[in-house]
Amino acid sequence: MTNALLLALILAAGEPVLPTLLQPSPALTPPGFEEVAAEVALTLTLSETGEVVEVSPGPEPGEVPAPFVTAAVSAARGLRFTPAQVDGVPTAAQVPFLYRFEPRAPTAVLRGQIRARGSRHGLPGAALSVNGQSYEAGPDGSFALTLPPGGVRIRVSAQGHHPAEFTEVLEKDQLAEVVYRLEAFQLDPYQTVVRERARVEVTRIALAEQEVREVPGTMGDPARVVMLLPGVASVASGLGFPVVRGTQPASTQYFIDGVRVPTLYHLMVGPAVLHPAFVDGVDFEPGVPGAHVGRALGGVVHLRAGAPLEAPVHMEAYADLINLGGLVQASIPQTGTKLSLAGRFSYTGALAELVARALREDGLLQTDFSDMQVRVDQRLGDGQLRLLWLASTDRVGVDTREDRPSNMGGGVATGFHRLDLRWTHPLARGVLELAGTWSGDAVELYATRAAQRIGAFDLRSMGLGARARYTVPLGEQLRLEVGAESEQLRGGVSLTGTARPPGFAGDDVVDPVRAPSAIAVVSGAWTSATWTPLPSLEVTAGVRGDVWHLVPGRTQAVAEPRAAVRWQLTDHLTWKAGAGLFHQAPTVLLPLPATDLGALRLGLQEGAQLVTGVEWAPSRALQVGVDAFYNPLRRAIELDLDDLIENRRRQGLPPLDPSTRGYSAGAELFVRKPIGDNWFGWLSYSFVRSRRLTQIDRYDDFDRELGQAWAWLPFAFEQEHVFNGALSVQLGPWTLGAVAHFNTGRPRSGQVTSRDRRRVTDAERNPRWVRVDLDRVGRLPPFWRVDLRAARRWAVGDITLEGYLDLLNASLQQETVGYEYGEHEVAVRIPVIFPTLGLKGSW
Amino acid sequence: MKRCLWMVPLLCALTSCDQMGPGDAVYLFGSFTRPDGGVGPLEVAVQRSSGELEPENPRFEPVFTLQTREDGALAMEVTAEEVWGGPEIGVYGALNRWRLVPLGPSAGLTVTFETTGDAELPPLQLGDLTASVDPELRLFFSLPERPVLPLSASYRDTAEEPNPTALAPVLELLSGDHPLWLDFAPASGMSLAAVLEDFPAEGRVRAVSVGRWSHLPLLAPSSSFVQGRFEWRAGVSPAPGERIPASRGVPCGAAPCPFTDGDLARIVLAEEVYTVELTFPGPVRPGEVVLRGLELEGWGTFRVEGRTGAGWLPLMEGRYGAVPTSWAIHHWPADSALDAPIPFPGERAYARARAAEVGEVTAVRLSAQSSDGEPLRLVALQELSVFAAE
Repeated sequence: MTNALLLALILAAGEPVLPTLLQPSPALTPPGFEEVAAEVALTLTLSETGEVVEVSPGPEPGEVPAPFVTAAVSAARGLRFTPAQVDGVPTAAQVPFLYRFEPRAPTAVLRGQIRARGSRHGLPGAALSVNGQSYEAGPDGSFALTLPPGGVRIRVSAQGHHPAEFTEVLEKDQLAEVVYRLEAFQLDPYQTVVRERARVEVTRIALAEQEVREVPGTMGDPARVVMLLPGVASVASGLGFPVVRGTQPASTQYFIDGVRVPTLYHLMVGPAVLHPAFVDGVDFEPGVPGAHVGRALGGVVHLRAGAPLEAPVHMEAYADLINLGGLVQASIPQTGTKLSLAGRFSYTGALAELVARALREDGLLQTDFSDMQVRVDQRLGDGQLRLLWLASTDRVGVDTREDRPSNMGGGVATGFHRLDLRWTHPLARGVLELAGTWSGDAVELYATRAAQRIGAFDLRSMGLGARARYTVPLGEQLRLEVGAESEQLRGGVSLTGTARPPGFAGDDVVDPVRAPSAIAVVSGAWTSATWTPLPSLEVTAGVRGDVWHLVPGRTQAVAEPRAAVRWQLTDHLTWKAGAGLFHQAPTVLLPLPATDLGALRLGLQEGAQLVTGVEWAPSRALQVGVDAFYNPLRRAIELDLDDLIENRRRQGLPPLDPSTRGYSAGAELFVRKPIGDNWFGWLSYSFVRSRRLTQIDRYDDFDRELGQAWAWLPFAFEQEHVFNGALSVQLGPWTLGAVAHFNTGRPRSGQVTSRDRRRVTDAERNPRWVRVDLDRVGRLPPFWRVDLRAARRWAVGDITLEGYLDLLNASLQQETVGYEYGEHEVAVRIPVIFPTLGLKGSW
Repeated sequence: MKRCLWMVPLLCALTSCDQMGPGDAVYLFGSFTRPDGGVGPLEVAVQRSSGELEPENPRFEPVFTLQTREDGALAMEVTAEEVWGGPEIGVYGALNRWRLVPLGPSAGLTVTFETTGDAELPPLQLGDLTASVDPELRLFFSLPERPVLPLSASYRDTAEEPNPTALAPVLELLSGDHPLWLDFAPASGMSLAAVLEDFPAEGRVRAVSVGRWSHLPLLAPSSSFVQGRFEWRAGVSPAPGERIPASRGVPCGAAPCPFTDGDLARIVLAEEVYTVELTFPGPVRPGEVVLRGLELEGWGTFRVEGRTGAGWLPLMEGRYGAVPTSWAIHHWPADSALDAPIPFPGERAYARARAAEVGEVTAVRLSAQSSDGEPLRLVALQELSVFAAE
């Protein structure tokens, strides 16, 4: 673009008024001459109105390439001037005019994004400094700078990250694309999502993602952290089934994103049944859950499955000593679709075979597991559709190859699947949720000889369920929730081959769908209102009704009132209390398919839960909770596997009535340091007394029954004192953690352990071990262990790598699970030591 | 606490793995089908051996009488001590023996068994064995099907060694208090004329099967080992025989000869007797030879020979002590104080054979030798009969 310059004005006569430029008309640089400087002098003839009527080069055009002259002449015709005047009269005039063509300065464009190392997400608020001038990147860390060609130093900085300098050499007219990665002060692969949710239960311990994935002894699996929380004991160290407040493990319910699942762990001691990245938090409710939770006497463990991130694609993969897994998440903003796909499988079977071959052992340990998760979130208008598909299989056992009659093997194979479709949509002022679930569970105990299946005890169930929920605020102080659910369950129990007990007269194979051995329809409806009359006071009251209908003809209906109150006494102190009535079908130690359906013939269990406590949070860095509870059991039907076997043995004989009554009572302390300042941790202590009224036998020195009596006995799962301490510290790229656990022993009652025996001497002076009366049995010895975890993170480009070593029971302690009685009493100790060494990467 | 697989100890930890105590329950099962194949309630007397089991003279005492279900199934609950015969588990022979006696007409079945724990017996059919003797003294009988072990049993069954064993029929005939005939391989349609001679007789056909098996159900508190015997019986009352042997009353070196006098008493021979010889008053052409109650001092072969002009020629031969393999376990001592146990085939020989054609003889003799050709001493004998050829 050139600038016009007026040089002189020649007037014919009189007192002149010079014309002035009103409208410029820039001349375009001729193509091919952008970098050439030129000046074109023109003579313009103006009319009386100031318009250009004639353009001529000169008076001294000089050595100028013709295209410049042409361009100048052409542009000059668009110039406008004020009229020249002589004695106040407009007049024509000639004026010189100069077009100057200046060469364009060479430039380059630097465009890119500033990211954290090990991540593909831009850093918002990042800044760039170039040649003393500062620029700010966009919200997603992107920038575009026009810079002169040549070498340039760019300093990049962002909060929480080490600043860095980058040198670029730019070519003239170059569009350079770059990604600048800053190293974070601390690498944090987790993005904690805090969701504010309505609270209807008395006690809920909500753990964020990092808190559940950095705890030693858990193999990085969120679900296992529950075992370290207050109110939780275990059947055996490392075993994943929680004993919540002195109840049977089967009394506790597990949910994954609102979908009930039978178990959370592979092989009972292994990792969780879903990829860790599928979980962004864990909620644990040890007692008095809201009215929306029913059909269980124990606690609730809820794994929150987070929706995929907004990034177009996100991937994670890991491999450790026993298994590998992966996760892919994709987001399609145009269609409002988010997809998550995850899965894993173990190679323990292959490793075990290698070991067995190396040791030339005939017995082959078979431990295989795999799981798969699919989640699809689809926006539908104002609503949202969510499809969740979960599947898991396990097998653990021993196979033998040599065909000898005594060469027996066997094991347990389990599996389940869930397909859940949920639709949420705003309705009136509230939110409506409709969902349907197709479920299938299977547990098979099998025996083999020479790797051939010779018998199996097969439990299967299939369910079709639907549920609805509507949440609506009624004014500022009241929120109402109503819901209903119904599920048809079909169970089949098959005994084949050597699994058949003497006297077995059942069918060989029972298909839960075509020929179920039990069908039940379980339905429930509930409502709950939360009233907040004061900012410091919240009262929740609800009621639910459940109907168990065992086909044909046996129907049992119950109503369960629930109530909870939270009152913030001071800024730091909250008092809470709750009470409720609860029912559950008879339980069999662990959640086993079909057995609970058949056991409905025995009637329902019934219990109440009463809890009170305080929460004290003097600062954001410290939370203290104390709970005390009393849970009377008006009717308990808690079968263990021995009871199940005993009833199997009683083919055709009247079944035993195992119903009794009891209670559990205790107190819990939870001191927690939430994530912050590079560390988190907690201490938990639980005291529980869980007792059952039991008819016991008295035995003489020959192990013969002398008579019977009634006694209040410690429940088989009672561990009176349980202590857990967890600590995780982040030191630069390292994360180090430790867990300390201590528990007192369970009673040696013969249930899930051996029966306590005493030594007597018969008439021939031979030693003999006879049973101790159940009200005089001792306890298993206390057990303690220390778990350790060390993790190191690296950022490589957009990929974050994490290597970790997790040691369950690094203290190498052996837990006594029972006794053998030979010449002496010998403790049976199990060294559950589980090292996990793995590598994880996310992109 | 039972030994657990070390590789899956936690599975074991989920069950008590506790030893069974003497007061713990043991469940015994079985099922019965009526003679017509139908099912229905049936009364069964349950007896149990009392005190130490004496092999040849067991004492059974009634425990209770129970009724089977509509489908014929029987289930009973007893204690481990009742099964073991004491406060601790024992071995075969030291265990209590149980006897089930279905009551009612045409039951015809006796079941005895021992077990170390829960047990299920094969499904059994009542009164399936029928036996009769027609006016021509021909014996007819039909055997029930071989019992089949229940599905819950763990066992190895091969064509060579079925388990339980194939039904072995036994014909027992008594004359008064004395055994008249014992046949371990009677054939339906056989003639009893020669066997009966002119003795009055009553008897029965017994069909026996025995088996050994175990129950090893998954997760059971313990395995159990069972052995049982299933015996069907049918009485026969043949008309008295009319055939008198040519040897009746002939001397054998003693007068009168106890082996030809028509008295079935067991006669114990003197030491060092290796031959019994009967001398006919005149030439006889032997047609059939019947030997009753022969006992030898060892296993071998016995031979009956006739003296002809050409010397001693064999009339019949038989093996003594040679028994089918399955009979080794059929021999179930002390199965009943009420019904004599079936003798072991090797204990006493009853043999009948058409005499070899040697022409007329003036004497016959009985001798025996071992497998290596050494003479065997004759220990005892009831009767030796020679019928003249018709």
